[in-house]
Amino acid sequence: MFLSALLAATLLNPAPATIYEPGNLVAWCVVPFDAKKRGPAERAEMLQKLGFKKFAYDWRAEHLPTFDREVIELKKRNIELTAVWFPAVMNADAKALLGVIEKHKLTPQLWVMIPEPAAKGDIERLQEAVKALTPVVEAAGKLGCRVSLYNHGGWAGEPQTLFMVSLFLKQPHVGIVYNLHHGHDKLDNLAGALGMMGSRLHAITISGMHPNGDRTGRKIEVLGEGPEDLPVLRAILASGYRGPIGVLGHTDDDAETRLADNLAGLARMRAALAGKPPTPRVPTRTGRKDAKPEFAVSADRRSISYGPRDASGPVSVTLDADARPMDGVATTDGDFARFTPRLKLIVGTPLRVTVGGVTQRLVVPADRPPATPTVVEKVGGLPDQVPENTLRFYLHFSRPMTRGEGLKHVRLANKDGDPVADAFLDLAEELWSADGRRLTLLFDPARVKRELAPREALGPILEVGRGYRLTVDAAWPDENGFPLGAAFTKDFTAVRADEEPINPLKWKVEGDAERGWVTVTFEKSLDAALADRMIRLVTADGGEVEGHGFSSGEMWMFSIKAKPLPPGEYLIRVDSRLEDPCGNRVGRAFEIDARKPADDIPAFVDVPFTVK
Amino acid sequence: MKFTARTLLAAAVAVGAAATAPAEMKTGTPAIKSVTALAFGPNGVLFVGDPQSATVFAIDTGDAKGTPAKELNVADLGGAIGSVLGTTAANVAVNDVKVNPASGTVYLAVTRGKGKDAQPLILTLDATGQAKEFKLAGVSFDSLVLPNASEKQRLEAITSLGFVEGKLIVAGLSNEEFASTLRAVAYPFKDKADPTSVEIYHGAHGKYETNAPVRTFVPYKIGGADYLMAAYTCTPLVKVPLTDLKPGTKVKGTTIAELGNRNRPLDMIVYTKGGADYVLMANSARGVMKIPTDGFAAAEPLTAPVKGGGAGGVKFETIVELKGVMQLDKLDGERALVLIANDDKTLTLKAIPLP
Repeated sequence: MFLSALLAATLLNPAPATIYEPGNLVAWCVVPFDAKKRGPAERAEMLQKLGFKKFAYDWRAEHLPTFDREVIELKKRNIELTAVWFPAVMNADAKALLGVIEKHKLTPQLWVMIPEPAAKGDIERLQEAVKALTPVVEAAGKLGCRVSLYNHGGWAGEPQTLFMVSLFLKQPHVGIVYNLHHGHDKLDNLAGALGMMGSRLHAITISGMHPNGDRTGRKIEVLGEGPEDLPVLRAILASGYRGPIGVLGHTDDDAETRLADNLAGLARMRAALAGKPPTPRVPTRTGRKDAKPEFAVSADRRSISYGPRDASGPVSVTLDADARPMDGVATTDGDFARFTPRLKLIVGTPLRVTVGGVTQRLVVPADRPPATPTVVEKVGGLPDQVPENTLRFYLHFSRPMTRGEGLKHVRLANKDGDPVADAFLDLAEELWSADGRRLTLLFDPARVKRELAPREALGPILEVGRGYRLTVDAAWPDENGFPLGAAFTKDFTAVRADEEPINPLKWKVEGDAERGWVTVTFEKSLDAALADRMIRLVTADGGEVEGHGFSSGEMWMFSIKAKPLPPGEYLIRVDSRLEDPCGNRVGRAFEIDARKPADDIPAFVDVPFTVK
Repeated sequence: MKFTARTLLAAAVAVGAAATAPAEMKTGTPAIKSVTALAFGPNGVLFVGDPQSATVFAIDTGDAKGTPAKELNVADLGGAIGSVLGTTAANVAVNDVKVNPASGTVYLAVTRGKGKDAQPLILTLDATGQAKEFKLAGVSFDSLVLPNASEKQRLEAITSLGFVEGKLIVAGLSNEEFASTLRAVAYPFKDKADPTSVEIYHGAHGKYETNAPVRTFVPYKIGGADYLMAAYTCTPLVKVPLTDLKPGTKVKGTTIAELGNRNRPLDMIVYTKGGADYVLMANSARGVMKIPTDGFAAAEPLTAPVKGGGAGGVKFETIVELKGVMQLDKLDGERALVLIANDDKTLTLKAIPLP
């Protein structure tokens, strides 16, 4: 009974580590990187000797004439041509390659780099990339070959770009080959990157990975020598990926020696993944000559490792300040001693790490700065002319920011440069949007509302007729702790208070029933965020018209889902809680005279219009 | 024998703890995204305000008996917390401090790390002032999603939480409309769909009235009736009758004190000393104020502006020896707990005699 249950469990969960077994490995970056300059027959023989069953063909111009020979030699030794490096345009080289592929009735993956587009905007870049790659994608489809987009740094190598371009090409035979040695900057969230690319991954190539290897002259290490290697293998397994795994030559050593070093390192890691005790290490023949075991904080700041070396006791970690032991788990992880703290390490924390009686001070290093710095994209609700009783405005950022810092970095000054003190309401908790990219700042309401002591004593914050400058300084850290790319300023002039309720009956409604859009122009600037949520299009009997609404603060634009909009009576339905930047609501000014009877404002106000 | 006795005792404690957890609670790990405000309900139930997920969690701490620490003085609270959480004081923010009235244990709402690392945690201080993480895995808890608090980019800051007469009061301020609401929710959370929400207004000196979000409040009885003594974002001190907090109503608070310009109330407690009641209020610029409550019932609404940036309304005294107080709570009948921001940017948490 027990045995059969065990058997069933095994059958249901076949050991996924088989993706790292020799039969699933693809030799890659071999042809032009081999110090021995092997020809097709010698190369195929070398691959067979090392136990490879799969091969990805890399080439330079001088190799193309022997591609046909290459295929024949591989076939003879029963080695699959899994992939071919391929141009991004259908040039003569591309045609020559496809000629050989067609002749031998093969269907290798075509590994293609996305050409770095000239356009600036993200959508334009995607469109340009799709246009450039379409001929290759079509040609590959005719032969039953898959096209695999190859990451090689830059915008075109971002997992999100690879995914979006593969999606926009709209062909089921387009996917991605993801190379770890071009992805050091994604090690902090490899699971996220793999999850995004998901089922579109045709192949993954692995390499020895140090967290900052690309910046410290060790971009391509021997497999197993990098502190990130076992975590990388686990992340690939956890992602559910079950396709081929590439192993690199690439280093201009004798390709056989280099590939053998990598296979040996991978074998040791397979043993570690299977929970087997490590055997004594054998020095690599092609690895760094000066390699010494060292401490490293993982790119995701989830662990500290020491190695590679024959295991000799666990790593322990204490805080430098008070020598308090850190809460966590010490393990032996292949050729690395690893300490995994219960809570993620924080940048800048001074630590003392100890292994085998040796203690070293270590400060948790900063993350890698993003390729483009975070910036203030715009300020919402603060036009050139600002009513003196304005209550709030919005700062929009290109990325989420560090919270709790806002009032340190935002200043208001008048035209002469004199600071306006205590202009903004200091709440213990800042008012961030759900996506963390928009901060609401409130002018101190005690100096906006009339007859309150602070306004009586100090006067209003904004004085009619005066000029002001709002400054956001660049020192404000984004969510990764990096400062803004530049300071941001906005100049404006204070004008007389706006004490008018919002009156939707003054709105102008226009539209194009055929094209399925409706535009509403407000009688004055309203709060864009609220207008976004609080205006709807309904039929005369109150039925919702489906579509997408958006407000700039000056207008509300609505695009109808099912075009055209049939003739009939419609209503722009406005939630009466809608406010302008001064807090005036529909039918009710921000400040109302309490001695007069208040108007009864319904929950919604409707603006009727007719489509003929 | 000893082993058996201990086992029995442990079993009894476990049953006791289970019995106090309201039937609605489930066991698990509450998915808390942020923690900005704490409050205690009956029998050691801790309310946690999580604005990022627009939710209030009710957690059974199982901490329903005990006596407060005899001495409590943590000179460098940030350092003490950082040490427990594997970092330095610079990476620790203390968002709220509350004493569990059932046990006297101090609870801290803490954010560890900044930016994308920011992680909400709850810590306790034991009788010797040692900080310890209150682990959220496997607790009994319930949660209430604040209706309409989250839509598109809208969220609500939870500025204050309080429990009074079987109701949890949640004061919030939206990141979009200024016309915010005060929510009064019966606990245990039964009717999750419709917690009472009330629009709060401020009648400025009788002439104008405006919407007025609440920054902080404390429940207090005046002449046998329950009130909230509240600080608006625009006005220092108002009183709001608890019975007025009915669904869909408009409630106007009565201003009873102006406490000076460029000053905002941070936290309040109510206590009794020598037979008289007082409000103790921490302020951003004007120190800690002790306000006798005997004038509250009779306090006329302030109808004329207070000139010259000074204070008006009910009388108060400033406790000059208390400086930099950010948070207050009552530790027991004789002592208050104060969180002090020192000039060197360290935080001190200590017990002081009620003034």
